Amino acid sequence: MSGYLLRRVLEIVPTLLLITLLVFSLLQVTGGDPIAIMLGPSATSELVEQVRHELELDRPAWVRYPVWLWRVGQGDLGKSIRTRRPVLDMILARVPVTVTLAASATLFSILFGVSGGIYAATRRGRPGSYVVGVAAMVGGSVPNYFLALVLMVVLGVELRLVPIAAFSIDVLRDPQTLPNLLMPTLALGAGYTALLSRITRASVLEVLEQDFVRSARAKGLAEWAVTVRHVLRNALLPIVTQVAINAVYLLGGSVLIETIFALPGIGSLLVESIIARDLPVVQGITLIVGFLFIVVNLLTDLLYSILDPRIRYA
Amino acid sequence: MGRRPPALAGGAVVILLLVAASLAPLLAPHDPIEQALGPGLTPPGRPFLLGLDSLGRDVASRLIYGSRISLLVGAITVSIAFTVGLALGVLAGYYGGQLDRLVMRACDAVFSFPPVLLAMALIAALGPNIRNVMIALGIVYTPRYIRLVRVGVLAAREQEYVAAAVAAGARDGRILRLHVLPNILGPVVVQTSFSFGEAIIAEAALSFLGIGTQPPTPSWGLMLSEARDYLAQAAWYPGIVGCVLFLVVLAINLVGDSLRDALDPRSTW
Repeated sequence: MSGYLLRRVLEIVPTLLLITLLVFSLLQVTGGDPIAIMLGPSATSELVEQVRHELELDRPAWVRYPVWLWRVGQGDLGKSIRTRRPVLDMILARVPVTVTLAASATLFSILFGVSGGIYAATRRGRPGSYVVGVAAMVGGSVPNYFLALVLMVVLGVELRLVPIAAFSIDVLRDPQTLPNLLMPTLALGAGYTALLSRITRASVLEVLEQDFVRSARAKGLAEWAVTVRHVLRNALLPIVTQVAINAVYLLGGSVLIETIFALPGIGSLLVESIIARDLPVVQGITLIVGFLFIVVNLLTDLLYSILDPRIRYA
Repeated sequence: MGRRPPALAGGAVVILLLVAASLAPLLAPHDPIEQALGPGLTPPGRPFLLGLDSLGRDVASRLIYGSRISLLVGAITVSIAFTVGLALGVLAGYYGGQLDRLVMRACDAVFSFPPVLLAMALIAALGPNIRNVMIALGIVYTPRYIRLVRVGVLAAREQEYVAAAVAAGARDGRILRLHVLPNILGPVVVQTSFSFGEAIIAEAALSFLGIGTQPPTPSWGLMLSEARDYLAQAAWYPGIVGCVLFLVVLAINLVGDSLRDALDPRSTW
């Protein structure tokens, strides 16, 4: 196990380095002078020079990259041009909202996506399967920002069930805010639920064709026991992968959802920073999300080797 | 594919979209950026079939012209991703070695970001406009093609007909063109239709956030973003724009799905 772990950790090093290089180069590819663009036309040339010096853009990129990388390693993501505050602090302040959203949408997608997928697979060719198929097609095609607007009109404006925007979703400290999560969860979760139901269905169908399923049925096991104990257990790997990928990719969708519902999360911070051309914050968020993906991927792989020990020796 | 009603309906919508985009000046009843055609937020009816927006611009005309932006972004984005992906995928898959490793690691790096988020970061660096949206989305979608093409090439390379071509003295270029590529294009075409739909959603999303198409150019995302301020007074406005966007993406996905089904019968529901 430790050998497998070490090999997996070593494998991600080049990818991590490429991610840092990609994020670092964001500041290099701006058309024209990045500082002048960021500070806007009203900035004096002294201020431009001062910020250039602060960001060390007066030195060549190949000198700056190792220094920048070293600082990132120490948890120093630089300072925001807009607020002059450390980027890491700004991001950390926004984490709770985004994590709450991502967690609730992930739970929603597992609950409905996996059960929908299993249902459709075990009833292939029957009406129930088509209903799930249509729902997955619709859920996968409707843009989440449009779905958010529809929910706002229906649940917020017409039915007045929940506030439309700028509500609190601090469910841990104030459980009464739980209903506020409904709209953002549905809007954010729908697409990923659709995707997960497709993956689950395909994976379960593949396992259903295996000989051991026929054996399980032949020895008289109830159909639910076959599905849960034999089929699901073996169909789990692709599902777990998709859940892990979704959990990180949800952060992309949450940019729109946070903006629409005026929730102070990482996504809305990203939009504010892009509009203000505050590149250090954009770099910080991008870097953290990229790293998060690699870490989640690694954890998923380790989870596999626990779920299916054969993988360790492959 | 011809015998499937959903695919047929999807294909019809796609054709309708192509017609609308190419004949926009003939079909649009009004100039899409002309303001004050009537009172702001006039609901659908006569003479403005789909109503007027808050500035008194004709919604129907703006939707028709907006289809040009959507199609343009879809087409350019997919062309960038397809061309670069095909070239790098073939090189990585056919020649392997260090190049293959480097290309694959670069793909992993791009895959580590949610697509829209990476596109946003690239736009933040390049500057928010429609050209940069297409470049950013093109970069974000390229690794999918690289992977698909590479896997296809790796599998095809081991086939006996390739060995036969090598034995017959064919050069690499000829083998790739005549023997490898035709056998791997199926999944790539399916991917093309899906990324096309995704690019349309992504462009609308970026314009919705204010970092894509800039006003007054009519873009569906921009219209949806403007409509957001009038949810209580004029829910029909975001409703119409959103439904058009949804139907077009649904149609493209239906076409993509039936293409995939034709290649992989297991995906039938």
